[in-house]
Amino acid sequence: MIKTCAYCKEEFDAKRIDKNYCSASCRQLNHLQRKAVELFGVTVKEEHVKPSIDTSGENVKTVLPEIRKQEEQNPAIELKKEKEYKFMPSKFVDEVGTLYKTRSIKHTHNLFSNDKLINKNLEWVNVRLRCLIEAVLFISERKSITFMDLAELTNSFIHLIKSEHFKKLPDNYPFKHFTTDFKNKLKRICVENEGDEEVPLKLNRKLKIDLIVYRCELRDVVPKIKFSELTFKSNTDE
Amino acid sequence: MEDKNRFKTLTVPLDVLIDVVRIIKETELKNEITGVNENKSFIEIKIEYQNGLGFHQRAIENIESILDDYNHYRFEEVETDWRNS
Repeated sequence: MIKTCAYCKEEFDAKRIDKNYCSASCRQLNHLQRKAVELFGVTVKEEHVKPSIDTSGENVKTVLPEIRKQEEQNPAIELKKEKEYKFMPSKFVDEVGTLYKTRSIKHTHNLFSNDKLINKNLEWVNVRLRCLIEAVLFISERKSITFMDLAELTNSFIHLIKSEHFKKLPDNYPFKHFTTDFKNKLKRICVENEGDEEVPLKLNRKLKIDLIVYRCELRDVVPKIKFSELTFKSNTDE
Repeated sequence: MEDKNRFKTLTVPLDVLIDVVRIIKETELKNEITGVNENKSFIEIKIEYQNGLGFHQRAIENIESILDDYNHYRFEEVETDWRNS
């Protein structure tokens, strides 16, 4: 989505709807500008300086005159300035963002339908699946879960898959295989840990990234509803 | 003389810990681990930085940008327990 940076007024491709600045530098400079006015009464022209150097996708902006003055007076800072700061992205966040972007192009239209009946099934499943994914992410970040809680979570996956709504989902529903595979994984953990009071539920890096992305995709189409407020059996189930 | 050093405490989830530590190390920011929450998979790091030093400020905003993006993808609200959040 193309947006205009609130600081440099240049257009940029916003990864998120709530991004107002093209770079972290612009966000910080905007903050510094407000601070400069507050502290020194410095007024800065509305038209901001355009990026002077571009290092690997991160624009380095010209600093405010007051800040520059401070830096020039300190030789230690001058020395540091020789080292050009290079923005260091997070590999984890980048992988999440890339997968989310790639999958949303491919799958978003499969998460709802113009057919009322199909859409009813999709919505019913999406709400519950989102809730279960949120729960799995939450639990995986804890040290352990009680065996009873794990069994309850596993049963919810089983009920969801057995529900008439799930059975009637279109073949191109993007989470069909994942839901079945994950239910099997949970069942295996239950069998392996039967008799234990506490069970750790750990996700490997790839699965964690997948789940965060699935959560975002479902967040885009259905609201978050608490596990305690949902039933996972449809009315027509036994 | 005005003390130019500032402190910032950041909550860093385990998933992005390595990325944040890399920035801290490469920019030689003074730091102290002030908390470890094993049950929620995050640590708290107190960072000392020089106010007005562009290099430090960019490192801080780099870390904050990573944390903002991670939180955007991972959370919608503060989660208290898996049944009622």
